[in-house]
Parts: sequence; C-alpha cells; structure tokens
Amino acid sequence: MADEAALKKMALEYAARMNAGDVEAVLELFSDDILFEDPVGAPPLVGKDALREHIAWSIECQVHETPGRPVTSMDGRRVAVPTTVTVRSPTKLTFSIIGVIELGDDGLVHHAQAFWGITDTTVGDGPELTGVAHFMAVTQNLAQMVNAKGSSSRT
Amino acid sequence: MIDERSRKKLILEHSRRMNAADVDGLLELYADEVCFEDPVGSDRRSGRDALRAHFEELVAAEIEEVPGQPVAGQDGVHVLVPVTATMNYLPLGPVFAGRGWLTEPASPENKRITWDYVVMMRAGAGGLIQELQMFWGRSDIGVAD
Repeated sequence: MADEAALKKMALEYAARMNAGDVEAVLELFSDDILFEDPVGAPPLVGKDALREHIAWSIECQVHETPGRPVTSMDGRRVAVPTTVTVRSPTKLTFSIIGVIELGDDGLVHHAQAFWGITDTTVGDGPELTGVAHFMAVTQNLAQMVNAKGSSSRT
Repeated sequence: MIDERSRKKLILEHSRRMNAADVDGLLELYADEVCFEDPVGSDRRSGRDALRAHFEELVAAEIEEVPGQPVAGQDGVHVLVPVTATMNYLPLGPVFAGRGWLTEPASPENKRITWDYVVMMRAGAGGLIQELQMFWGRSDIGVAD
C-alpha cells in the first residue's frame, strides 16, 4: 500500500511521461495485467501490448496532459485527478477528463479509467459549437483520429 | 442510459441541495437500493436510511460545496465532479480525528474543515443515483479558522 503522496505523484508522473512522449517510460507505470478504459464506456484494453498501441497512438496525436489537483482514497490504492487533455493531430481536440487509477501492492497501476464524454470534448480553437453541431463535429473528429491510427509509422 | 447533460445536471443539483441543507430533496435523487462510500476505501454502506443519516451529519455541520466542471462517462451511467468544500469542525471532526483522518485542533469551536474530493455517481433507471463514491484521503482534508 502506497502512501498518499506517492499515489498522487503516480498520477502526475503519468501526465509528465505522456507529455515527454516516451511510450516505454509510460508503460513502466503499469502492471502486465493492466485494465485500461479510455473512455469509460468503450471496450477496455487489457494487457501491456494493447496499452502500448494506445499510448503510442496518443503520442502520435501529440497528446498533452495538464493535470489538476489529485485526490486519493482511504485504502491507499486509488487516485482521482481532473485533467485537461489536448491532441493536435490530425486536428486539435480538447478533452476535460477525470482519471481514476488503482494501484496494486507492487506500486504499479492495475486499473485506469478515463471518464470523458462527447460533451466534455471541444473541437479546435473556434467558437464553441452546441447541440447537434457540436456532437457531429466531435464524433467526426474522433473518427478521424481513429482512422489516422498508425499511419505515421506505416511505410 | 441517461444522456450526458442530464447526468451533469443531476450531480450539480446534488451539490445545490446539499448547500441548501435539503436532505429530503437529496434523497429524492436516489434509488431505493443505493450504496455509498464516503470516503472511498472506508466502510461501504447501503440503504436510504444510512444515506439520510450521513447527509444529516453533513448538513448539521453546514457543509458548503463548490463544484468544479462535471464530466460524464460514455457508459450512459457515470458522472463525476471535483469539489472543494468546507464544513464546521463540529460535530463530525472528532469522529474523523478518532479514525486518524485528521489531527484534532486545539480549540475545535469555530473551526472549519476544508476539503478537496471527487464525487463519482452511477445513475440508473429513472435518472436516480444508485451509487455514490467520494474520493478523498488524509492529505485532502484539513482544519482552518
């Protein structure tokens, strides 16, 4: 069981390593049996190979994470942190998320959940869209992100 | 499945009723088979009677919540919000101190508890809350004048 400061540091360390763009350094924070839900509601990723692909994709999309104040729990296992996440490729998207991670006795993350909805996502820097126009813009841009997956590493 | 905006309204309305000391109003937002953890990692409790007693303690301490920006899961059921809150040290402070969650101040009268937590709710049929989880640890709570 980690102390609270160590737990919170883990959440901030994840953001720092994502921002540094170092896939393997990010993966070192996770257990081999990691269950990774991003977003919660999509089919979860299980295991490090699946997670490696997801992290590499996020970094290809030029992800940048700005964590807010983390809070923890009384069992020394869980941290929740509100975070602003942006990707810049193929288009700029900004996600307001709350991440919840759970650590095992080995000090590694065994379960990670990123809670964010379509209504927590904004497109570009332009005037903020609302209603159906917003929904369409977000879903089309998310689809573009998925379609671009792996394209930069293909030859 | 409850749409994202309705879930966000629900979690902000919950804060509003908490600040208004409206315990009956809070209970109206919950399903009969509710379970809750406050804080996460302490006892998991269930039932409306236990939840009512819990809210009555918070309201008696004049809790004031300032919610941040809520976010919704894409699972149709979850909604979360970061909150900063304060409440009178009495009557709950000594209970928290007894559990080792905070250090008893020298003169507890007129002191306030200051708090950061993340609220997670799972809502089900009829838009009613089935599960409430409050994420906070010893390093997220303090005592101020």
